Amino acid sequence: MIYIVLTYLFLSIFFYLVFGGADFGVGVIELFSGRKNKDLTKGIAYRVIGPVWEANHIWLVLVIVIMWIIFPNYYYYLTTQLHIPLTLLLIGIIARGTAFVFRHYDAVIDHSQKIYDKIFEMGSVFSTFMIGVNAGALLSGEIVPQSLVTEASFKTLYIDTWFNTFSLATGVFMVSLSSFIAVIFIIGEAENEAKEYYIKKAKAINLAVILSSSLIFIESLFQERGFGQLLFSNWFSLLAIVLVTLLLIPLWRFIRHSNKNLSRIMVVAQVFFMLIAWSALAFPNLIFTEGEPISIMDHLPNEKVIEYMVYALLGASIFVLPGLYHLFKQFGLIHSKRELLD
Amino acid sequence: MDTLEAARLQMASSMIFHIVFAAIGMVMPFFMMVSHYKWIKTKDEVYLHLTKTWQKGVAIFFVIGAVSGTMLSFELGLLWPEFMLHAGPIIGMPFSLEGTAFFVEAIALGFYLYGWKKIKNQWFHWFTGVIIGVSGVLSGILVVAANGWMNAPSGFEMIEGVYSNIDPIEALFNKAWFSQALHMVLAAFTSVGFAVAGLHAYQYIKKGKLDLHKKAFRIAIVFGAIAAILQPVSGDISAKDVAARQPEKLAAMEALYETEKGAPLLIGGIVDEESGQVSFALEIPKALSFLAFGDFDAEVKGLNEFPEENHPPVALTHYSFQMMVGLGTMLMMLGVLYLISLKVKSLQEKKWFWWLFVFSTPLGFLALEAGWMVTELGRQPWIIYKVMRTADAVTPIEGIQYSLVMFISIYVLLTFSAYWLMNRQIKKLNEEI
Repeated sequence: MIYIVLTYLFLSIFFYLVFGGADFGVGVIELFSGRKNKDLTKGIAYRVIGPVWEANHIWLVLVIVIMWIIFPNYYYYLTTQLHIPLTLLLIGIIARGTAFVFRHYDAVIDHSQKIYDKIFEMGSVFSTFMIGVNAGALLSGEIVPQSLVTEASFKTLYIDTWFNTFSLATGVFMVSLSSFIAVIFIIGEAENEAKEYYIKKAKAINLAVILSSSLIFIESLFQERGFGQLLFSNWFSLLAIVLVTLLLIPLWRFIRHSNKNLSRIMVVAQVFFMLIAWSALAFPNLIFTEGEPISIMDHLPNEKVIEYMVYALLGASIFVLPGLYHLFKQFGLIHSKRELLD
Repeated sequence: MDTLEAARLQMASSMIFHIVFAAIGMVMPFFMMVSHYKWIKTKDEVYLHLTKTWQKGVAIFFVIGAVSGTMLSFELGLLWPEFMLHAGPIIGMPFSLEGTAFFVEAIALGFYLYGWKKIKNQWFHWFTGVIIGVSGVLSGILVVAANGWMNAPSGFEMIEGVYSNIDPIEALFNKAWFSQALHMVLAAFTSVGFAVAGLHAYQYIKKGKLDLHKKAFRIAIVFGAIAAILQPVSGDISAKDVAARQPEKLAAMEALYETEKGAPLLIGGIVDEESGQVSFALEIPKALSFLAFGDFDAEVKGLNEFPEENHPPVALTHYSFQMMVGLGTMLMMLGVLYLISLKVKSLQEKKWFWWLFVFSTPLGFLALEAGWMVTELGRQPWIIYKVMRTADAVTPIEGIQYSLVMFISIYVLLTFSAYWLMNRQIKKLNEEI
């Protein structure tokens, strides 16, 4: 039973990375688009992201709900020691989310649109960065096990846990990864000149992804973090990472041949294998520490709670998935031939 | 201000903010659906215009509601980690179901907002709007059920300080869920109904009696009036429930210190928490006993019956309760007035009739906020009634004061932006017609 819950947790994180990532990434790309192409990016953003964006963030809510019901002990670590970066993430999400809707629904179009744009773009970069920082914190080895908490200082517990080079590097990586996902999605919608422009963009972002991920590996080797040492001794994770890199070859081939669906599938597969690498590496000790590992499987609630959670998740899937599928289909995210809105 | 106070204030401000948007998100879709239905049936352009204007409102409020709801779900853990550590597995059930309802709502909203040209079957399009409303109300009920559990904890056993034998279903259907959810749903319809009606009433008298505003007013006020008239019945169920389950809360609501047979109902009054005296209150003999237990001579327990460390903040709870009941009564009377005006048509010709509704615009929301103050303050000092103290649940991190200031600034900013956007929305609407 618990493995069904874990699968859902895994899938929620995966979907959040893909759809939420694409959503955040559009904002990042918008920020780095020249004035000429900004409106183009915005137009595509509304077409691609608009109809589904409300649904995107619910993956995050799902992650949180699963965490606090089934893995409360684990969640406790996050909410206490990562209080500050989680709060910052929250503020970023609020800023960009409201700005996105305001600029779309404001009855009067005037200079205030510029303010919405700025908040949306900066908020997107900041939130994505903070997602990375939080994720990085779990792998950095800086989280303090509960048994040592009472002796730890404020700085060790609430600052060093996330404000370290590893977490910050993960933040940068997350920004480049989500803009990469977004740009691949956008390329599929763009035509002619615009398409050329985004392909150029995609190349640059691709380089940024490779550089920032290397930065993480180098940092963890340099600082002798558990993450690095474990990675190079775990052939399965290593293989998955290699696979992720190799997938870039067919990805670029599909982009050249304008195969929208397959190029999207490739980038989604990359995210999938990245997550596989991560879970194979760490499971069940998903939080790295200097000392005793913290297992996600510790202090599980009784079987009845897990059982009902599974029913709730399965029941929810029956309601939600068909609706989501039709929503995506209706607005051409799945269909290959689509007409323009309006 | 210490961490506990700062955390409580932050949580309170988040709730005060969120509840407004949540209520609008629950109720507005129903108004929209009535208008949309009339458009399909009558092909009167005014209804189409109204539906599209309201839809923008729904979208804006839905997002602010969703965003502030996400914030709250984080804050539960961030501010009260000890609470979530133990309560999470027990009351996770309503939250996960709420997540589902919310998911469905978001999907339906996507269909509805972007579906005007895309969806060929207009009745299917209309139906996606109905789903928004129904799942919104379901979300509300589920979240309130979780709050009910904090008032009436059930579905677990405490064995040597460990929460054992958890039964999530029993926790979901705790003793408080029904009365609280009923009261909240009616409150949402009342407050949003009167607020929307009031806004349109103002536009109606200011902008030369446009037909659109009158139609909008009518749709909103029918919901508001019916809910306001039903609310006292639900209030009675709630009062009897609280009297039986949380006598301290009832005593605080009525600032009753001494246990009394045939206790009077106090209206207004100034509470002195030090001496346990209430001055300047209007007393209705034996009414409290009757309202709480259905018997004029029933014994109502006073606060002195309970150890002082278990007393809720009496004055604030009492004032909030008075405010809620007072405003609720006013709205109920206004609701009756509207129903009378359906028979006595000349009433609607009078200017004061419209002004009455204009002035009542914020009253429903004030009553709603006051009601939440009653239930939340009245539960103190417990976060889980008689199981865990709020002080024991608070986060160990220092400096919540800064986070409090930040969050309040965000809420203030968002409130002003929402107000400003609505203003622009209405201006545009008036220009177009």
